[in-house]
This record gives sequence, structure tokens and C-alpha cells, in this order.
Amino acid sequence: MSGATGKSFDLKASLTLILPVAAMLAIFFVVPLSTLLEQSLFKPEFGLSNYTKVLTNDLYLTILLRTLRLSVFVTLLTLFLGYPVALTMARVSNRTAFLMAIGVMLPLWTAVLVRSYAWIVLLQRKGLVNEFLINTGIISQPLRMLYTEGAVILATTHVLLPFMILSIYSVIRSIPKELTLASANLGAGGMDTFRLVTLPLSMPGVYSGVLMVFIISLGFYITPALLGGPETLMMSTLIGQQTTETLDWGLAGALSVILLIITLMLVALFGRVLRLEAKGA
Amino acid sequence: MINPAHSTLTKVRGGAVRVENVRRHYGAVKALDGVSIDVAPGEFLALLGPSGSGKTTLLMTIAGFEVPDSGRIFVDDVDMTRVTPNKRNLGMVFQRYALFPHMTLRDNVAFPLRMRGVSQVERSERADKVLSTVGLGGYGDRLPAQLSGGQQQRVALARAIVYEPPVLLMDEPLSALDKNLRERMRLEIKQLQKSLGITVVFVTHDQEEALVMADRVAVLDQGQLVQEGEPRALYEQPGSPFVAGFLGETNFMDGQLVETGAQGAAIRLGTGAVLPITTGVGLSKDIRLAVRPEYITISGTQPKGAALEGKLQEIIFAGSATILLVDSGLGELINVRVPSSMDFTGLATGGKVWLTWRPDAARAFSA
Repeated sequence: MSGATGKSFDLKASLTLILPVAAMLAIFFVVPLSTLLEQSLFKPEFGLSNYTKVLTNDLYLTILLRTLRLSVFVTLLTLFLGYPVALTMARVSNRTAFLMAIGVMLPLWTAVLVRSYAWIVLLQRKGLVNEFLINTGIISQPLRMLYTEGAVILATTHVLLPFMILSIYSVIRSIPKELTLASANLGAGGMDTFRLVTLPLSMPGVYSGVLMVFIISLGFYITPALLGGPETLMMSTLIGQQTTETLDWGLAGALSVILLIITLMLVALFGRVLRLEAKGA
Repeated sequence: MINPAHSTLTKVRGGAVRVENVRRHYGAVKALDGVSIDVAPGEFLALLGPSGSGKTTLLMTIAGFEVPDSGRIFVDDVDMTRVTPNKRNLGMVFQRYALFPHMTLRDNVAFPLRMRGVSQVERSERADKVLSTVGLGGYGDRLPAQLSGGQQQRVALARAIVYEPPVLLMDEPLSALDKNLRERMRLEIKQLQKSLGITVVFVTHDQEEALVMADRVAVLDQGQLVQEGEPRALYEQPGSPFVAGFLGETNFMDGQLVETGAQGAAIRLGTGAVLPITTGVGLSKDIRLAVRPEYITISGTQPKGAALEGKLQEIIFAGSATILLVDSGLGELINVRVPSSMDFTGLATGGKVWLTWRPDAARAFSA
């Protein structure tokens, strides 16, 4: 049978349909990526000098480790803050869940830049938080909050929290209600039902949320650039400096490729875990 | 195949369930409007009714998932009305089985034992034994998704009886199975119930299922208990046109009550035919007659006594039975069900026929 049937397309139709996206990815993703790779190997001269520079320089390694550490923190924070919200959303009435979803999505509809400046307003020396703490007499000297790792983690968590919540919520929502009823009927209290039924069945959502948040925070740029200081330099800000200030495209390319390789390795690792989980469930 | 003979479950003492004037309203919808019913220990009670009749709400109230607005639920004289579901110790089989998809069959069946603090070794052993009772011995390591619907059904049953609860609640457990399997499972569940001595409350909208399986059937409509009784009594002496129409097929005929003295009463149908009924006591002038299709005798020649005359519209062969549709001029066609082995000579489509029935085979209601 030729052409599209109710459920599947033949090969030709499928290729035609994915062509626009494939073309866009080729032009705007593959081409620049290859350019970066090429420059990391050929500038200033052919060789791995850019890579050895990154991997032998303490400063660059510190930044790499810091980026990984901050991403882990952000991921864990979004997970522990987001899971209870997702669980609640899945259990309340449809109307309340809808209102909560709007609450969760609202930050997503605000530009990251705006949200980052909002954090600056809150956290700066004479910002809302410091003024409040001084006025209530809890502290006498303003705290240095802006341009710290804490500020970067806080603001990044804020930006990425919706991804975690929605990812977990969609999975918990799909768990049939009868399973929790059955669990209660068979003698399980609320904690046992959560531990033995809801939590294990929500793990696919946890994995995809963790993967998504971790990868996005590895390469997160605007928030660390605005809220981080010199001692909280992250990979993305470092790469940004190389391309806009020092114009060392070779080094920028090497840093990007290393970040990309780490990301891909993590995706592969998570993919394995997910596949094993899917087989088990 | 469920084999109660292989069962290692000890015969339990079935629990007594008492539902006392239970009300549950959702806004203006009266899901349960003052229902009272007693289930004796070891009894198989079917809750039968159309969708929205409140039968599932009643089951969920007994299970503890619904709290009644008023009224009380007792199991073995213990007031369960406010007891949480996990503390009620009742078995339940859900409509779509509700097996835990991430657990093996053994872990599914052992789950209630685990909640009751049974040791790992003992609960695995007991789970495996109950799995063999329901015909799934050796399947313990499989996951629910690897089973057919009928097999999942058996696992759900095993999980609901492994902890030997006094009462087993079943919410349309056979509705997702195909016809042949459904019919076999009816008998198997019935046998298992008898051999265990467990009390069963079984929700169904399938009247045949209720009649075949239950010791007693309770018919619900619009949140109220309309009638209850043994299957045969309910089928032969429905208390209302609703029960007559819902439980099995029925022909309804409208007419007027005619007194005929000491011999009993009779009904004059719209066509003028006068047919005897057992009694006219307590009936209004306008009455509605209900006659089961299989209680009607059809003949191609005019019989001696009173008969309803009509034209044979259609003969439908339905396997063991044959359905004859007769136009008697009363409006709706009259449905006659005869064994296919009957002698059909003299009966031809379009020909004249005469319908008769024993007076006690017809039920008359005030219209």
C-alpha cells in the first residue's frame, strides 16, 4: 500500500516529513559544531595542544569540576523540591491540578533574563533579602549573596524546576488509581503504598527529569553569567569569554567538545539505566 | 483452570456483612439512597443493576474507599464505617485486576502477606501455593504484562484470597474477558468460593452472571435496593416491571383488569383478547403484564382456550434456541423463545399464530 495509512507512513512520506527539521539541524547545529571541532584541532596549529591545555591546567579543571558539582546540586534540589509538588498535583482534583500547573509553568513563560535580574534585585547588597534581614535585626552587616555559587544554584534551580515537576507529574498521573486502591485494600498504609507502589512506578519520570535538568544545567549560560562572580566561573561562561573577549576560538572549541563528550556519556549512561528499568517494569 | 482441590488455603469462616441504611450523595446525584442489606457468612451475593444504579458505590463503601453520608457498615458485627480500607482485612478483585506492573506474580500475591508481617520465606511459599490453586503454578517469576487477561484475573483472585479474608469483594471482575472464558470463570470462581467458605459480594451489570453465580441477587436502581432474593425467585416473581425487564428478557403488554369471579382475574389487552391471570388482588384498573419469552407457547392452529392472536413476523435461529417475533397488534413485537428442536410445522413467516401461556407464568403490575 502506498501513501499514508491511518497509522503509519511509508518511508518516502516519513523522510519528507522530517526533512525540514533535519535540514535545520544540519545547518544550525552540525555545521557550527564541526567548525568548533575543526578550530579546536587546527588553531593556532594542527594538534591536540588546546585539549592538553584544558586537561593540564588546574584552573580549567577546577571550572569543569565546579560545573559538574553545581549541576549535581541543582539536579538534586529540583528533584527534592519538585517530587512532592508533582505528587500533590497528581493527587488533587483536576481543577486544583490545573491551577498548580499554571503556577509551575508561569516561570517558564517569563524570559530567563528577566528572572535572573529579579534574583539580582532580591540578592544584591542592598536588595530585598538583605534589607529585610537587617530591618528585623537578624543580621547587622549585609550578607554577600550575589555572585556566589549559592546564588547560581538558587537561580538555576528556579529556572529548571518546572522541567523536573512536569516530567515526574506526567508519569505519576499515568499510574492507574486502582493500584493505590488495591494497595490500601491489601493492607498497606499511605507510606507503604508510596514506597512500594507509587515511587517505583514514578521512576521513569524521575530519570527523565534528572537527565533533562542535569544536561541543561551543565551548559546553562545566562544565569551563571549574571549571578555568578569570577570565582564561580562555569564552563559555559568560560567558553563565552573565549569567544567574545580573548577570541581564542581553538580553546573555546576544545572546551565545548569536552563538555559535549561529558554530556553524551551521561546521556548514554542514563539511557542504559532507563532501558534496564523499562525491562524490569 | 482453578482447582480448589489443590488449595492449601484453610477453609475460612465467611464473614457476615451488614449494610445499614447507607446514604451517599454527590451533590444532587443520589448514588446510594438508604440501602440496607445483610449478607450471611459464606453467602454469594450479587449486586445487580444498570450503570449508575449505585452498585459499585455500595461495594466501594464496603471496601472503605467511600465514606457514607449516613448509615453504617458492619463486618461480623464490628462497625467498619470509619475504618480505613487498609485496616478492614477484606479481599477485593478490581475490574481491571489492578496488579502491580513492576512486581512479579509472586511479589504481587505476597504483597498482602508482606503488609501483615509474614516472613519473606513463608510469604513466597504461600504465594506460590495459591498461584498453583488458580492454575498458575510455576508462573511466579513472570510479570503481569506477560500474561493474558484471564491469567491476570486469576492472579488478582489469588492475591485477594491468599491472606484468607472473611469477605471477598468483586467489582465486575469478568467484564473484560471474552465470552467463553467468562462463562468458564463464573463456574470456577463459584466452586472456589464454595470450597473456601468465603463470603462474596459481587458487582455485575450482567444479569446472567448474577443468576448463574449468586446464592442471592440484590437488584439496585437509582441508588435504591429494588428487590432481593434467590435467582430463581427473582426471575420468576419480579416485584416490578423494572426488575422483570432488567433480569432476563420480558414481553410487556398493557391492558385492563377484568374481574371473572371465583376463578381468578383476567386481563383485556388492547386488541380485545382476554387472557387469565392468577389474581387481581391489589392491582389497579390499568395493568401491565410481563411474560418471559420462553414461557410462551406458540401454535399455528387456534387452541381451545383463550389465546393471543398474531402474525408471525420473523423466525430467528440463535443456536440452541430459536426466537420468533410475533406482531399481535399491541405495538411492540412479542418475543417468543422456543428450543430449536421444536416442531416448526405449521409455522411460517407471515402466517397466523396463536400465543398462550400458563396464568402463573405471567406477572401483572399496576400500570
